[in-house]
Amino acid sequence: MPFCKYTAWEVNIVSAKAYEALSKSNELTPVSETAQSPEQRNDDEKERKKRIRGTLIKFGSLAVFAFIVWVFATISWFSQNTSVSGNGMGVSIGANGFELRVSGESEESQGAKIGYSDLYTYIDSSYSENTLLQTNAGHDTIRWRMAGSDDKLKPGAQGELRFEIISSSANIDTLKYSLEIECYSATTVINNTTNEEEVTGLTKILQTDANMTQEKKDGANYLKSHLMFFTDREGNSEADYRYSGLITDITDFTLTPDANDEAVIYWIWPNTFGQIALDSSLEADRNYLSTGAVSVLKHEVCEPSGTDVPNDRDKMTSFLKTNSYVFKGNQTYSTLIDTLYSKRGSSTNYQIEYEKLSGGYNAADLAIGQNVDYVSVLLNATA
Amino acid sequence: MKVVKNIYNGLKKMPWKKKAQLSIAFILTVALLVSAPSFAWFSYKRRIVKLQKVEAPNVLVLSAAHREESMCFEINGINPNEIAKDVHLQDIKDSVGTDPETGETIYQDRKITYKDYVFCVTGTAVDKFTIQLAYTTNNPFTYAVYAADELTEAELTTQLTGVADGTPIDFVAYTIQDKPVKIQETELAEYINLSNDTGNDYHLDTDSDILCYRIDTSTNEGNSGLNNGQYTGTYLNSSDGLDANNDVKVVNGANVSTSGTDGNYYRWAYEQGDGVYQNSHHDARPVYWQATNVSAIPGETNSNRAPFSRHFILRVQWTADALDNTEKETDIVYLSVKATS
Repeated sequence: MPFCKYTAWEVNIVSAKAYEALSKSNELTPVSETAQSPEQRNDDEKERKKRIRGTLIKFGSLAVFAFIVWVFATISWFSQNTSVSGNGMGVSIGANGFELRVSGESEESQGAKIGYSDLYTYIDSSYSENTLLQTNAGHDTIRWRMAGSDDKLKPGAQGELRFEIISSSANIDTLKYSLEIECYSATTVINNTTNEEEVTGLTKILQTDANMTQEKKDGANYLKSHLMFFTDREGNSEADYRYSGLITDITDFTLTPDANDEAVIYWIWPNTFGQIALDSSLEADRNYLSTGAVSVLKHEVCEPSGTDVPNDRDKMTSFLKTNSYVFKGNQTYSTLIDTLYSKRGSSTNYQIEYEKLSGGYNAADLAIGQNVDYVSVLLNATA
Repeated sequence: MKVVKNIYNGLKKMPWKKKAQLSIAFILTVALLVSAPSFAWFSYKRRIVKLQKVEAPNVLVLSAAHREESMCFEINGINPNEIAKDVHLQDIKDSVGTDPETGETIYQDRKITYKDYVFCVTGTAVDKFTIQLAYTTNNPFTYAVYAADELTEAELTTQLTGVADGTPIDFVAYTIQDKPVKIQETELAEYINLSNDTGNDYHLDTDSDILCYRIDTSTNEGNSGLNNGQYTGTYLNSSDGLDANNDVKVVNGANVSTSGTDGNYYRWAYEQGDGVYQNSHHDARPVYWQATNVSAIPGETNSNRAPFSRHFILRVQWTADALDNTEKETDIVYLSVKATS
C-alpha cells in the first residue's frame, strides 16, 4: 500500500447566538442591576440579623470567659501570701484558723539566734524576709531559733522541734503535720583575711538533678534514713535520753499538744547501729555496745510486741529491713538483721552479723559527712 | 452558627426529664469548678523551718614521717655499742682521766643511751587527741614522746650554727620514700587538702628528699602536760611510772595497788585472785602510758575543723651500761592515737 498522508480538519458547528457571544467575549459588558422581589429582600434582612446575632453570641461568650478568668485571678491574688503584707490585716479566716509560734527572741539585739541565718536566702528568699516568732496570714513560714548549744549535726546528735499552736477556731488535736527534709551541698570560698571558709551558695541535692554526683544523692538519702523522729522521750540529759513513739511516715502524722498547746517532735541521728537495734538496759546487749552508749528506744518498747499491733521495735526492725538507705555496702542487710535477732533470742553469739551491720551503718554515716553540707527540716501544719 | 442552632433545637426537643438531668449535671459541674479554687483559698498551711550544718567526719591517721605509710616507720635493732653523736654529727668523747705518763686527757667514745624515731599524726576536723603507748618491758628501756618540728636540711643547719660541740643529738633525719598514706585509694595529702599548707612549722610542702625532725622545746600547748617539748603524760598501770633507777616499775604481785591507777581492764586481764598476778611473766605485761589533750594545731583551737599534720619523736632510752649485747631481748611497742574532740 502506498504510504499516504492524511490530514484532518476539525470543524465545530455553533449556533449564531453562541458565535456572537464568543466573538464579543473580550468586550467589556456593563453589569446591569436588576430589581429584586420583596421575598428576596426579607431573606436578606434575616441573613443580616443572623449574622449580627452570631457576632453578638461570639462576643458574649468571649466576655463571659474573660469575666471568669478575671474572677479567678482576683481570688488567687487574695491567696497569694507572699505579696500581701500581713501586718495590718485583721482578717481572720473563719473555720480553720491557727498560728504556729516558736520560742526565743526575735530581735538579734535581744540575743536571737536563728542559726546560719544568712544562708536561708539560698533555700528560699521568703524565709529570710521575716524574723517573726509567730506565723500570720502574710508570713506562713517562720524559723526556729537555736536552743542552747544547738550544735552541728553529726552521728549521736539529738534535739527537739518544739512549737506552740495558737488556735482561733481550729481543733488543734486534729492538725496534720508533715516534715520535709532537704539536703544541700555548699559552695564555699576561702576568705583571704580570716582564712576561714565562707559559704557562697547552697544547692539542693535532688535525685533528679543530672549535675549532682551519685555520691551526693546517696549521701542525702542516707541522711534522710538516719534521722529519726519520735513523739516521746524520757531521760534527764542528753547522755541518757531514750525515745518512743517512732514516726514512721513523716509525710503525714499527728501530734498531741500538751496543756499549754505546745507540741514537740524529738529527733536523733543515732551514733551506732547497736544503739538502734539493741537494749542498753540488758547486760547481754551491753557487751556489744560501747561503754556508756544508750539505746535509742525506751526499754519498754525495746522488744517486739509479739501481737498483731506493731510497737516501736517492730516498726524499727521493719524500717531497717525495708529501707535501702540505712546501710552502705553490698551485704544483704535484711537477712543479717533476721539472723542477728534470732541468735540474740537464743543467746548465741552474733558478733559477725553485728559487725557487718555496724560497718554498713558507719559507712553510710561517713558518706553523709563527706557529701552533705547542710540540711533543712521544714514542718508543715495543715488544718 | 449551625452547630449552635442544632444544639438549641436538640435541646428544645428533649423530654423534660432529660432536660432536668442535663441541667443538674451542668450546675454540679460549675459548682465543682467554682468550689475547687475557693477551697484551696480556704485550706490552710503554716510552716516552721530550721537549717543545720552537717559536720564533716573526723579523720585521724598515724603514719611515718611526712605522712608516709606506716610501713616506712621502723624501730630496728638497737646496738648498744653504737657511738653517740652530737648535733654536728661528730662522735662524742668523754674524758675518763688523764694519762699518768703524758698528762693528756684520755678520751673514750660515749656509747648511745637513747635512740629517736619520728612518727606523724595527721588528720582533719580534730582539735585534740590522745597519744597512747603500750610496751613490754623485757629490755630495760624507758620511752618518751616529744613534739617535733619538721625542717629541711638547710633550715636545720641554720638552727644548729652556734650550738656547742658535744651537745647530744636531738634530731632525726628521714629519707622520703614517696609512699604517701592513702585513704580509700586517695592520697592523704589530696584528701585533706594540705598540699598548699606551708604556714606552720609543723609540716612542710617541700621537694627535698631528706627531712629532719628536731625536738621542739618551745611548743606551747594547753593542758597536755608538755614539759620542755616532752609530753609527761600518765602511766595507767604502774603506780608511779619510774622508780629511782629510772627503770620502769612493772606491776608485779607485790606491788599491785588494788585501786586507782591500776584500772579495771588490767586487773580483769591478769588477776588471779587476792590482787596477785600470776598468769603471765611480769616483763610481758604491757605498761600503758598516755598523753591526753594533745593539740592538733598547737596554740590554737581547730574551730574550723581544718586539716593538720604534726610530728612527734619517740625516744627509747636506757641508762649507760644497762644493755648487754650478749643478752638480747625483744620488746613490742604499741603506739595509737585517738581523737577526743
